[in-house]
Amino acid sequence: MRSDNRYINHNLLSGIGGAQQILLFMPYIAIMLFLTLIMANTDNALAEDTVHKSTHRKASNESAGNSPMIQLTPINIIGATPEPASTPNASTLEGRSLHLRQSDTLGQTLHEELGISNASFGPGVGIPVIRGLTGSRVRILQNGIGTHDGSSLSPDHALALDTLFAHEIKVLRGPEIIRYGGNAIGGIVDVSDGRIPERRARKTVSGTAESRYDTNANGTHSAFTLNTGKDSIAFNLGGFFRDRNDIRIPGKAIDETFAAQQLGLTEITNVSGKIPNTDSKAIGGFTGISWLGNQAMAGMSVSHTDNRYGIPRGSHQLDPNHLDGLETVLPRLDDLTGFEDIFGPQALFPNVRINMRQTRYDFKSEWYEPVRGIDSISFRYGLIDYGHTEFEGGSPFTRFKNNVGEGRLEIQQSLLHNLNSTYGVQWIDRKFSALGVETFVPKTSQLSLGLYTTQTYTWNNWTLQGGVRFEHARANPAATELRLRGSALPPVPLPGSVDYQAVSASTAVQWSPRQDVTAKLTFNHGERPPDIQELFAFGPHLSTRSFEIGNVQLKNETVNMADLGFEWKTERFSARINGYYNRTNDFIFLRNTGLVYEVDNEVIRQRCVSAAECVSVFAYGQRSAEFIGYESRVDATLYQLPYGSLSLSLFSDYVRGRFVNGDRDDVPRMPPLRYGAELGFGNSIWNTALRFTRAEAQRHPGQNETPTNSYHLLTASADYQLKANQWGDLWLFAKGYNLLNEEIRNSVSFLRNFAPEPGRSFIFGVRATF
Amino acid sequence: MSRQSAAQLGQLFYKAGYYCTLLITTLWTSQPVFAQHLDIEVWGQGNALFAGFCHTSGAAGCNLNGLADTLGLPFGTLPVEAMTNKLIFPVDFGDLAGGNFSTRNPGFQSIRNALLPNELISYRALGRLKYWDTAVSAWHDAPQHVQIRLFGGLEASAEVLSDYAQCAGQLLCFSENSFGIDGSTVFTGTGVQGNPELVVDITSTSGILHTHLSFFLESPDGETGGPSGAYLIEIQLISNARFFPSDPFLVLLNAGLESSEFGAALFALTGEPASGELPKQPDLPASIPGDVDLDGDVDRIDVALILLAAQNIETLNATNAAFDVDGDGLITRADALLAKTLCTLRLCNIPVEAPATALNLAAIYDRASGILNLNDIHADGTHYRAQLEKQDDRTFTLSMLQRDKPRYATPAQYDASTGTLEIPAIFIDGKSYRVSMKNTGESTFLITHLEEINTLSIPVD
Repeated sequence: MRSDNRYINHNLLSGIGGAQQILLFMPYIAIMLFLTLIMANTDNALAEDTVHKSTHRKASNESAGNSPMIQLTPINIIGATPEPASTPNASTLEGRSLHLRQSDTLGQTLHEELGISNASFGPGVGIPVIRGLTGSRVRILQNGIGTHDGSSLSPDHALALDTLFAHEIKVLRGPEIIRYGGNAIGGIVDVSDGRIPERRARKTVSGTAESRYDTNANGTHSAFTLNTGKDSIAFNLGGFFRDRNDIRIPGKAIDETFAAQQLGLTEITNVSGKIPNTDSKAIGGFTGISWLGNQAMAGMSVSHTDNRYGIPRGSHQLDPNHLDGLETVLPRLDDLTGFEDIFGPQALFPNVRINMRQTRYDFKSEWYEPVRGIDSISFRYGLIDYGHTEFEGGSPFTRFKNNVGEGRLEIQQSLLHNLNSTYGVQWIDRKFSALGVETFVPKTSQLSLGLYTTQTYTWNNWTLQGGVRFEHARANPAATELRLRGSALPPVPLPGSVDYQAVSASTAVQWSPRQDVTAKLTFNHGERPPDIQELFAFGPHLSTRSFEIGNVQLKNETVNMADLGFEWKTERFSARINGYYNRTNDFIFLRNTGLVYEVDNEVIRQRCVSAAECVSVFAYGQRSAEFIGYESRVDATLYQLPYGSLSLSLFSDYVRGRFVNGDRDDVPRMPPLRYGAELGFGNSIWNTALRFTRAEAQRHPGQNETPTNSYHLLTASADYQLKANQWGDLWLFAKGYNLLNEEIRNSVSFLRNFAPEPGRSFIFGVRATF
Repeated sequence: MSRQSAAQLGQLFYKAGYYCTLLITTLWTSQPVFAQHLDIEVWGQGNALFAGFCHTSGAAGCNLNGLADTLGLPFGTLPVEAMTNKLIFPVDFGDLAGGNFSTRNPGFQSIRNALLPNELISYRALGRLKYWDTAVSAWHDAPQHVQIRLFGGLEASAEVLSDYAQCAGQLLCFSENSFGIDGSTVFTGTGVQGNPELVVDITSTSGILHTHLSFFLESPDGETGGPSGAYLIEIQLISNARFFPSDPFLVLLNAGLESSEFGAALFALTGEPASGELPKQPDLPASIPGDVDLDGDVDRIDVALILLAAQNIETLNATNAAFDVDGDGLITRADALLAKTLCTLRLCNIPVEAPATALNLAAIYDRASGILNLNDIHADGTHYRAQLEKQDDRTFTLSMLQRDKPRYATPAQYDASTGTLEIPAIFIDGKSYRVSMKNTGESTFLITHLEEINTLSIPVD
């Protein structure tokens, strides 16, 4: 074990550098060492395909008895049908379904899931929207620890997460505050990719290799994973590369009607057939090592992602009549030869690009049944070093950094018969900074600490669940006052710190009158402390065409949600429906002040001549809001033929968000009503599917937002699993997306009037497992 | 280079050429038929502010000599009102995107060092809105159903509250926790309504001003539009760092008239060309090579102006010496190419954090003149502005004191009982100092404490 510890420490030291960062690690290394040393005594032979799950394990009578604590869990392999969700408002995407849907972004990967939409900002950005909520209200996790990128700060910031490695994506719709904190007020998405090995190597070397090609924009995606190890040591290695040109679309990128009506622009630089500056290139990899004992494990991983993508034009520089005076001189020049670099299109209308990089250090340790009655003690810690630089015309103009440590220590116990309990502590230590032109949020440190417990009681066919969480959050801006560059506004003083206490509780009752029927009623009361941009924002935010003013006296946002779900699952038929009502008190939103900020002149005024050169001044405020919606799905096997089964799925989802007081206007950027059907035919070797989705027009876009039209989305897929030889398997797949080549303006996207969703595309790929 | 690479390069050049052509065509075709206007050059001398015509060669809004020709006026006609000698700045509604009844012109600009760093320039509305009715060819007060609304900046408004305790936590608000204040000036035929004084802009750290306001022609109900004709408004400029405002001047706005009709409206004001002299403008400062618009840097506009001068085969003279970048006595494309290499524009450089704005600290010291401007002094609940003149290294005498509105979040504090004056920050040559002074009688103040302070809000790592 000493050698293992030396290895871990060596990697930490070489990977991080700097005494300050080492100090940050010390407590976690100490905990890791402590757990590892204790657990080393329990090191026994382990079944080779044993899987340790850090997530909640189902309580069972056996677990309290003499049977082994470690249970065999099926390994998901290509072609396997994903397990049904255990609760109606949760779902897990894995196996074949996951691999077919894997895309450039997490939002695009999940957008066919019920209740989930994709908040795109061009194809380079795709953030999941759960039941109309996103940003600071939905936690995106990677193996249980937050991604901690810049995506909650601004809609043009991509997630620092690539789904190509994902083994499983779990979606919990509705508040999951008890375990994950206030930022999970809208739900969570947890992407599990096994970076830290969780099982011993079955073969000397095993792994996967995948490559796919997308005809739209010549997208190529390649990834590999390697797993090796000996005895109780397992080692993982993975890498990916993704490259794509400008995305192809039907029609024009910019909705010219919108540009004329909303911005007063009749002559804009618009392009047909593609969206310029939407190419992207990403590369990344990870390595992980674990020690796997019989009753315990400890492991760590280091991963790095580098993602470079362009932002479609939309926030500024649309107006060819406004080039800081050049527009009056250039037309009089006859010959620009030799000056294309400063008078060419790229110089006059420079592209905005983002270079993002993230390095993660993840640690995981679990100890199973350390004493009788305690099922497990688990520890997770992630240290995230995130940064991105925004470039304009090739020159950097803003640099964002987010250094975060997030940890969780959790004990699961089942001392009492039929009662399974969890006690946990979770903490997040965040240091955020932005330097440059668009620094609308000051340098801030943030610390939150949550204590929680969940209890599950099972009695016959009833299950009662409950949980409570106490959370303390503190935000300390580094500056004592904020000034606006180039403005005559007086300096704005900031408080030294703001503190929040939040108490959240959850109860649920689940009834299973028959083995194939489940009904569940959940009530959640959750509180979310405001995020740093909601507190301290002060300045122009060009990606959302706004000037934001924070509010340091915001209260906790409080959600009260009732969710009633029903699930019926038989061999040939399954149905699932959820209905929910969410009343959120003190919903934090951007209130339009009616003023505008002239970007070039850096002046606030009530009105300006050119709407394209001005952004609206918004102030963070609070107002109660309510959300009501449903998700439903019916799956049926219509015919079972000798060569396969014919299946039909019908699905629909909807959410309506409105403010409660005043004129009851709509919460902006809600997804539209969707419904559709999927016809599938196949067997365990091959599958084909045709999926049709109809999305209705969104006529409730919210104040100062524009409605979107309805659309039809037709997709088709086919895949075939080939047993190559004893060395491995091959899985061939193909998918057609947006086969009708419809212009899709996505109502949840800030950039919907400037960048429609991708046009028709065909994806071909192969995945080898060995 | 392989044949394939050469072909790709050729294709690239072809595309670049295509896009350039497309862009220039777009720019060219997007220009309105009549868009000539004159921008307002602003400069300061001592304690006074001045406004005049700009003279940057080739720049839009600065072609004073071409105005008479464009409007069909007699040669030598200067846009100066004959009766009052007030300067007239003609502009055209509808010259920019935003509709036919709104404009951002005239622009306001200054050359480098013509104003103090971070000097706050505001406008003050005067007089009545005049209307030129082409039917009777005469100027008279505008009818009741039309007005011009001018939206200025709100930054220096007395209603600005930057204390979140007064704004229900909001970092910035306007009084009554509302943004509903009147942030516009309304010129009507009966006089000025709304807010008569609003911000034009604050100068850069180089003392450069380059900004625009928003003018709208509208009905009293605020509906944009109005009868065609010419409109005349009167304003003057004021500075928070100078006691004397500029002379009043006129802005002549064209709402849908042909050039000749608009020229007639202007001619009715100017009369026949006279030998009157325009106000003397500041001497052109010694510029860096290539900085032909004298804004303190070399950017794409400089390069474009040099290219234009070379295209027009302009001869070198004392006023356009900066165009000859390579010093060969000629203005050629080579000068433009050389200027391009000197480019210091934003897209060539990584932006740096701007230093603290002096006016936000409410006090400026001009080392050259020895004048200390205290733009906001708080004493016993009343706010003042004052000027002090340096006598020796530690002594200043009070040369001007006047009552004023509260303008700054951190004004200087004067305690009359002890005679102490605490100035949180004085901006001197790019640095800020905290200063304490003692009133020793006879309007004399002695520096008792001085220390340099760092006012950057975000440290650069």
